[in-house]
Amino acid sequence: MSTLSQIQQRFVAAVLQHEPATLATLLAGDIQRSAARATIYINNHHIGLRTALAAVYPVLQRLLGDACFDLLARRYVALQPKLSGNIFDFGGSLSDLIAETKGLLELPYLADVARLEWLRHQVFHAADHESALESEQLLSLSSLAELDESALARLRLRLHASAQLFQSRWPVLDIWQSNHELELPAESQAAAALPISLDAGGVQCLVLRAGVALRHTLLGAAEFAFLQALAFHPVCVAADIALHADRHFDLPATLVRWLPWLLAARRDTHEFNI
Amino acid sequence: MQSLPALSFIEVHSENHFGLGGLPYAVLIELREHYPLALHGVGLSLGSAGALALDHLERLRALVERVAPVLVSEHLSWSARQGQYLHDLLPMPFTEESIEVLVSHIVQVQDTLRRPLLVENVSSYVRFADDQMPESTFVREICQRAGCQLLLDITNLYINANNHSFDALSYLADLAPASIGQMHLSGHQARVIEQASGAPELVLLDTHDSAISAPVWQLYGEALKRFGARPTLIEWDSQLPSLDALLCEADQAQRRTNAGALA
Repeated sequence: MSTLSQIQQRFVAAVLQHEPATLATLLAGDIQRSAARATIYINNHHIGLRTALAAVYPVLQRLLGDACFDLLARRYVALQPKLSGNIFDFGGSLSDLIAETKGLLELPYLADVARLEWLRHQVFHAADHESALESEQLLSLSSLAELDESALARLRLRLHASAQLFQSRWPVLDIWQSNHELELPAESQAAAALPISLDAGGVQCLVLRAGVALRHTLLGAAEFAFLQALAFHPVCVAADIALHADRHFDLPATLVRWLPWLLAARRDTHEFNI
Repeated sequence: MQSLPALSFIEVHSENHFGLGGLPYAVLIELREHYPLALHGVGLSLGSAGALALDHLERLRALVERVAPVLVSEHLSWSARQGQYLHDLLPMPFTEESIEVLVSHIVQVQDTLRRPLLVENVSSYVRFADDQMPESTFVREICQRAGCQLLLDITNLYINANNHSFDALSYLADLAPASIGQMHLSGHQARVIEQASGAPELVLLDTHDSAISAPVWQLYGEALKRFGARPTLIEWDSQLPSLDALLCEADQAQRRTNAGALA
């Protein structure tokens, strides 16, 4: 008799490797009938994951077509990317596979479209602002104004998970927008009719949630550099980096604009006092 | 949600709302204003040998704390082995070791949540060579030892009785009325599986994508006779019908529950 751990190990391996006959050796009854039934579990696993990918990447699926997307999804699932008990955590590294797939090199923007769709998925499921970690808080304008100079110099802020930076050297936002609109009623398809030139240049934006709605907001080079630098530096250093990108960078205006999505370490915590 | 149909409770998959934010959470909070809420988990993998995923349990705890559901449930199944997950609710071998693993995990969850957990019998297409007891004994033992109630899924019972050739009524007879806390009903499909040699086999699949079949309604009637009325949910999460069609199913369950309770 096998232990539960042994049974589960063999079961998992057989499903991942599409081996119904191996799975059947764990089962009761006629081996051929058991193998036929074991196939149901193998199919459920693989089809379930492909369905989950399709839900996260609708625009990618439209761009590739159903058959090509399914092929890509099969390859991705076969790589056995890490899963958790929450299916919404699955699929984040699909853009890496796209970038490595030779047959897709003619569509160099595809990996970035996938990255954008994954960011949208992350932002959609991110916790509400009020649910921020207890060690962090959103700052009001008045509390920001109350900080003295030395506190301001030390101040660190970071973007909340419901606001994520995205950049691409391709016009990925336009590509996403026009394909997304094709799913909408005809009267809402303003961008879908417009041709997109890949020479139109890249995009820098913030994908964020305002209330329950997802939004993309285009950012200037300095604003993007500032928000990106906040992940590594105090506000004052990030502002220097932004000024380097554009000497007209307006720190107060930028802070006011994005304050609802910026978290600060709480006053009483160690980080704040560094 | 322009109209608020008369429903005794609403049930959602816990994991769909683990994010605690955005639309999924906002909808949940609004529904909670109007209906008692039940949380039904699919990702805890209570039946995995080894330790429970504590991060998953913590996310469940946080959600339970926020939305104060009337019922919290999970499955008598497994989906992971040492951090490797399969996207399914997989059947357990019916062994003493499986009982011990499930009981210790259920107790751990109940201690963490500080409330009772309901556990659901799952559908299955296979039985293990190492099985030591019938499913009804397995389920009964777990509920007794863990001090929890069963979320009796009538469709899963019907599917298993057909797929594994046992008598669904004696399964019901093996369970104590006090151990039944909730019931589930759903639609299923029959599929013919061709064999390499021999006659093809008819297997019932747990699909949640159609109306409840007549024999499942009949088995529900038998369960009501034996156990009395319990909170009962219609599970329909694939190939969704119109809201009216869904409410019609819920209404039918409610009428049968009322009639069963009076009988």
